[in-house]
Amino acid sequence: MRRLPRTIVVYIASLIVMAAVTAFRFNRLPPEIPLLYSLPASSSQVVDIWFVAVIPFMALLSIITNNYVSKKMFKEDVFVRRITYAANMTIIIFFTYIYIKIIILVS
Amino acid sequence: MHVTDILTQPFVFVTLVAVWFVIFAWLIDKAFSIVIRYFVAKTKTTADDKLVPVIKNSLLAGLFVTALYIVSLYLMIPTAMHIIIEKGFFTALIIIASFFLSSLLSIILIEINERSYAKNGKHTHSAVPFMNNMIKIGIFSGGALLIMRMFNIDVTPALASAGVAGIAVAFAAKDFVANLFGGISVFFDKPYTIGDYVIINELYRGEVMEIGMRSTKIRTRDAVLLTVPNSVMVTNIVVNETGYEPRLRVRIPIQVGYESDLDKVENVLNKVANAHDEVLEQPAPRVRYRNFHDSGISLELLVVIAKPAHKGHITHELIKEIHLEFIKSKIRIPFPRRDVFMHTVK
Repeated sequence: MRRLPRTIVVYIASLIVMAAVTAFRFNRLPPEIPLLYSLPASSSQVVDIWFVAVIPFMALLSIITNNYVSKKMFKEDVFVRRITYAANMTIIIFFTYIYIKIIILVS
Repeated sequence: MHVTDILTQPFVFVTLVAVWFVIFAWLIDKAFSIVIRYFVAKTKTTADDKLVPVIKNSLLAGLFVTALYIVSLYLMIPTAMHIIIEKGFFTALIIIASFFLSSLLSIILIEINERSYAKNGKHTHSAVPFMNNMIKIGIFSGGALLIMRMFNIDVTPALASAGVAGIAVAFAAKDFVANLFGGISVFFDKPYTIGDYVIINELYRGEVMEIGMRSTKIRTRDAVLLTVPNSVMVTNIVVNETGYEPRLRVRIPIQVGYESDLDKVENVLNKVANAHDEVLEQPAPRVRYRNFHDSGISLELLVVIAKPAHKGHITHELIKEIHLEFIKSKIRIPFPRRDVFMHTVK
C-alpha cells in the first residue's frame, strides 16, 4: 500500500487537533465571531462561526499551491523540494495555532 | 545601619546587580562552552554547532539588557523617564530577538541547502543568498513594526507610502519582474525544453542547457554559453529546431547549368544523400527544382537529419560530396561569367 506524503499526514493530524479543540469548546462557541478583523470596524468584521473553517481550507490551498509550483517548476531541485516541505510545515503549524487561538478566545 | 538599609542604597544595589549579572553570564558561558558544546559535538549535523554561539550571545545580550532595566527600576528616576526606559528595554529585547530569529532561520536555510547537496559535494543553491536576504528583511521589518507600535507610531501612513515606494521599486525592477514572468510563461507555455535546439531572432543558435526563473542558458556550437533573459525569449521569435520531434530538415541550395540532364542531377543528388550515415531514410531525401536563373536552374536538396546539432557538419559533408559527384558526372555548376570582346578601333 502506498504511503501518504508526510505533509498530508501532518495536515490530517492538524485537522484532528482542530476538530478536537472545536468539539471540546463546542457548547461555548458564540454564533458569530469577528474573523475579518482587517476590515473597517463594523458589522462586516463579524461572520458566522462556521466561517472559521476557512482557516484549514486556506492552509490546504497554500499547501496545494506550494506543491504544484514545486513539482511543476522545480521537479529535480532537491533544495526547493525541502524548502517547500519546510514552508508547508510552517503553514500547518501557524494555521493550527491561529485556529486554536481563535476558538479558545471566543469560547 | 541595618542590612536592608544598606541594600536599598542605589550604589550597593547597582553593584549587587552587576555582580549577579557577571555570575549569570559566567554560568551561561561555561554551560554553553563546556556542557552544551560537548553534546553538540556528538551530533552529525553542523547546524547545532553554529546555533550554540547564536543562542549564547542572544542570552548574554538579553541578560545584560535585563540587568540594566532592573537597575533603572531602583534608581530615583522620574515616572515619565521610567516609561521611556521600559519601552527602550522592550525595544532592545525585540532587536535581540530579531537578530536571533534571523540567524536561526539563516542556519536552517544553510542546513537544508547542505543536506540537499550532501551527495554531490559542496554546492550552494542560487536562491540561498536571495532567500537569506528576504528572511532578514522580513524579520527586521516585523521587528521595526512592533517597535513603532510600542511607541504608538501609526504605521498606516508609512504603509500607504510603502505602496508608493512599491510602485517606485516596481518601476526600477521592471526588467527583473518581466524576466520573472517570462520565466513563468516559459515554464507553462513550454516553447522549448532542456536539450532543444533553438534559434533566437535568427542570430543565435544553440542547445538549451538550463531554464531558470530569470534567464535561459543556451550553449552555442562555438561552446559559448549564452544567458538570454526570459523576457527576450517570450517577446521574440524563437525557432525550436527540435520541435515536437527531435529531427530537422536541411535544405542545400544548388544551381546546375542549362545543358544539364535534370534526371541525372536528381539521381546523383539522391545517391549522395542516401549514402550519408546521418541522413534519415524516412522521410526520403528529395530534390526540388525551384527556378530559372541567369546562369542556370536552381534546385534544393532536402534531407532530414536526426540530430539538429549536426546540421552544419552534415551540410559541409554533403556539399563536398555533391561537388565531387558533379565533377565525376560532368554536371556543371554555373557561376556568373563575363565575356569581354576586344574591338580594334580603326
